[in-house]
Parts: sequence; C-alpha cells; structure tokens
Amino acid sequence: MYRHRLLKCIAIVVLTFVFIPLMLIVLTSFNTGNVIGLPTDGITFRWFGRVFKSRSLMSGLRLSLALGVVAAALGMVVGLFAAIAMNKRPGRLSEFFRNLFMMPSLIPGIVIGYVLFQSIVVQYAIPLSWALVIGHLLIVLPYTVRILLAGLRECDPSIEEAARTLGCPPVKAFVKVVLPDLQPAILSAFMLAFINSFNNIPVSLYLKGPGINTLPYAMMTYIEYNYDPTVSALSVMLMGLTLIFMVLSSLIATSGAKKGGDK
Amino acid sequence: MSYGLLKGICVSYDKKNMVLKDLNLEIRKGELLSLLGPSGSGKTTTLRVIAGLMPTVGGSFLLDGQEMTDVPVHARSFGMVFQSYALFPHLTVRDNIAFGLKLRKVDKEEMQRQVEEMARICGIDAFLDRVPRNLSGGQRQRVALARALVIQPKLLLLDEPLSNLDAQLRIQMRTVIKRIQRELGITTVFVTHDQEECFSISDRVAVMDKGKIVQCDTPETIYHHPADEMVARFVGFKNFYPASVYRELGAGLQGEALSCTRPQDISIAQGGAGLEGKIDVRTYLGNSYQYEVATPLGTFTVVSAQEPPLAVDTPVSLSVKEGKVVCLGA
Repeated sequence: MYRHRLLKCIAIVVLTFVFIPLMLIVLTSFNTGNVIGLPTDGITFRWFGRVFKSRSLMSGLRLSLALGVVAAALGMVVGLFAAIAMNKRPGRLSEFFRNLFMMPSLIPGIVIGYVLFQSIVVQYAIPLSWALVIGHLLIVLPYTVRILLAGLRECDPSIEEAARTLGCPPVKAFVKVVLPDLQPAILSAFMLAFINSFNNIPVSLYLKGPGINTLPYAMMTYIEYNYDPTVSALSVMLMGLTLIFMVLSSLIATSGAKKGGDK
Repeated sequence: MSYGLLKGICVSYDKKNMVLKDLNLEIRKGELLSLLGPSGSGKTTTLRVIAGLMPTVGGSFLLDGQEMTDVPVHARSFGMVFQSYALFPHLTVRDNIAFGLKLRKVDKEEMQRQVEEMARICGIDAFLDRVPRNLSGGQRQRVALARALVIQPKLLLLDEPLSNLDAQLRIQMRTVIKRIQRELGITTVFVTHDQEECFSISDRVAVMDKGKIVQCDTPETIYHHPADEMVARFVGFKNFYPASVYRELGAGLQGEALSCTRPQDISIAQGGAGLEGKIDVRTYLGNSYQYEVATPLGTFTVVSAQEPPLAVDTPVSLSVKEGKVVCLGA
C-alpha cells in the first residue's frame, strides 16, 4: 500500500508540473485586462475574437495549416513508396535507407534549417514557399516512413498474394487489399507528420522570408510587440485542436489493435 | 494422364544455394497429390512455384499441355489456401468469397448464386455477413477454401491449411477437404509435414527432402516400401541395421544394404533365440509399452502390448516378425 501511495504522489506532482502551465495559459486567455495575467475581475472572450482580427496571426495560421497539409501529404507519398520498397526487399541496403530516412529526426532542426538555407535559398535561389515545403518534407519523412513501414510489416504478406491468385494484378492487389489493411497506419502517420510540421520552429526560422511567417514564429513576434492575451487565446484553441487529434488517433489506434489482435 | 508437369525446376534465393534442384513432378487430373517433407525440404517453395509466386531459375511448368512458366500469378486461375488463411480483414465473408468473381466480371445475380452455393458446400452459409475477425479458426479455414474454389480453379493449392487448427478440428477439416475435393473433382496439391494427415487424404504422395523429390507414389507403397532411410524414418520405421546382420534377428538375408523394421514388428522375449540385449528405457503408450533396448547392434525401439510389462534392465532377446523386414534400395 505504502509503495502505491508514494507512486501516486509522484504521479500527481509530475502531472501538476506538466499541466499547471497549460492551465495558467487557459486562465490568462480569459483575462479582462490588457496584459497576460490571471483574470481577477470577471472573464471575457474578446481575446478569442482578436485572434481572428490579427492579420499576422491569421496569415501565419493559414501558412502553417497549408504547409502542414502539403508536407504531410508529400511525406505520405514518398514514405509509402519507400516503406513498400524496404518491406519487399529487406537487407542491408534497406536498413541503410531506413536509417537515412530517420536522419532528419536525429540532426538538430537548427542545423537542417541552416543547411537548407545555405543550399536551396542562397545557392539555388529556390522560391521561399518551395524551400519551406522541402524543409518540412524532410521534417515529416522520419515519421511517415517509420509508421508506414511498421504498418506494412504488421500486414500478413499472404493477403496480397491471395488477391493475386484470385486474379488481381500486383498494383491492383496492393490497392484493393493492402491499403485498406494499412488504413490505421496511414491516418496516424498523416497526423504525426502534420503535427510535427505545424510545431516546427527551427527549420522555418531559416526559410521564412519577409511577410512569410509560420504560426509559431508569428506568435513569438506578436508577443514581442503586444503583451496581451490574444496569443493565450490562440494557444487555447490550438490545445483544443490537439486534443481532438489525440482522441481521433487513439480511436484509430484501438480499432487497429482490434484488427491486429485476431491475426 | 498427366495434367500438370514440373520439369527440371530450379529455385534459388541467392543464386548460390539451390532451394529446389532439378525437381520433376507429375500431377494427374482429378487427384489429390500431397507434398510431404520436414520443414525446409522445399515443399512450400514447390507449391509457390506452381502458383507463380516464386520465380524459378530454370525448368518449366506445363498444365494441360500449356506452357505456364511465364504466365503471371493473376492470369493462372489457380485457387490457393494459405497457412494463415489470408482472408481480407476489411471484407465480409460474402465479399471475401466474391472477390475473385468480381474480378472476373461475373454478373451480380450469378455471383450471388455461386457465392451462396460454395458457402453451402463449405458449410459457412450462416456466417456470410460476418467479418473474418469474428470467425473461429475452422470457419476461417472454410472461408479461405470457399474463396479459392468459387473461381473454379484449374488447380487447388493448399499450403499447410490445417496446421493452425487444434487436433480434433484438423481431423474433421481434412475429411471436409477430401469430400469437397472429390465432389468437385478438382485437381489438388496439398502441402503438409504431417505424415498421418497426408496419408489419410492423398491419392499420391511426393516425399521431399533437401529440395528434391525422394519418392512419389501411393500412400500404401510409401508406407510399405520406403525408398530410402529418410522416407522410412518419416513413415515410422525406427530400427535400422545392415541386411547382413539380419540373420541374427531371425532370418537369412545377404548383402550390405540397409534394412529396417517398425517398432511394433519386432517381438521381445525373455530368453530364447534372437538378438540379445537389455532394456534401457520403458515408456507407457496407453495400449502398449515402448522399450528402448541396448544391443550389440545399437539401440532398438520395440513396441509390445505384453502384460505384465518387462522391467528396465531385464535381459531380452529380439526377433523380427515374419516378413516384416524392409530392405532399402532393393
């Protein structure tokens, strides 16, 4: 009993430290005053409205959403083909490529950003929007490759063979029976890729240009000049969005586990 | 007479080691032919070559006089049942069975009719709207069978289809497979490592070892006249000795060829003529006892129902029952 109680205490302390800052942000977003602080006399929702009126925040949000979707989608396509190839021909070469695809998650983002800045922006003068897409594609690849490869390895290879013996040409067999089986992995890979692109600061920091800010950067700039609870309100909305994402992906994961459990 | 013919098939995974070496096999119309062998003997590989799932480095495969070697898997129209059943997890039983028919553009009503008839034959007509994860092992097995059969395949290929079932269900399912195979008169190749299962349902058996077919004959012939020591061991012979010493065991035979006898075909007695030895180990088998007897010719395994059983360390003499010696390579 004693040990359990101790564990419980530690858990409570840790969770408190994790959640108190988040709770404070939520509280400050309702502050009636013009500065970031705890609401002492009443609450207001006006900061939430202010988010949508701020041009820099809204353009940052739009860019980050678009960038996240495009990078995640591209990352899915590249990741899927890479995972198929690595799954079909396991060996030293495939292991090498798997490690290669993991590199962007191991190298500090600030280094990747700098390298990309030096090469594609300075050297090749590629337009910034494309540079951002390329940079973010690099960020999301480790996640899509890893999750899709794990998903493919879970699939029973004879399912595809069964479809072929029944009359499906190879590509059609993959699309008709392997892809549906891979659905949970595809969805969770897409979500993780999107979130990682959306959160990224270091790579974007180098590749953004005048008038092109991703959301995290726009938020940093905003509080530098206006110390009001607008950013708190935006953070609360983002937390809500993340919560929805988390619930969705855990739902998908459990439905996937059910499927996997009876193989 | 011959329907399918594998000629000089060679398969290699790494271009150095041959998995199949110059394999020749004849498949007769309407028969159930089994490929029997220990794991790693190349029986599943042979089946996959027939299905077209395994590329060969040499040899050819003819079916009904047609060259099949370069025909892709999806154009062969063979039904295959996999060890893991390989049902499509996202489709209902009905859609699983209809999968091959849909690809053949069979019209809706005809498809419905064929699916339901095959489901009835395989005994799964009550589960048509379930998904595979809600079925038991035996039911999944039947769905896999129905899915392979409904396309009216030229050949039915079964890859250890019973190995994931429990013992009772296995016996039940092999009867089901045999009955359906007879009913539809479909030429079938069955891969298994279980000798009893194989003999019980096959018309002919090809025993494989190390990528070659060692013996291909009826179960009866293989049971009574195994071609070599490996086959003999596989069909239950446990006692091997040179033919020249066979005299000591009771009868006269010349030459250096290897002879063998099953445990139940050697009589064991205290005293009397025969090969002398001492009981090392005694195991109770339910209806009889198995003795390991140490003799000057090595250890012999003998099964006897004699009551009361002989005690360990008893000196005994062994003799082979009349006509129960098999000379290998003779």
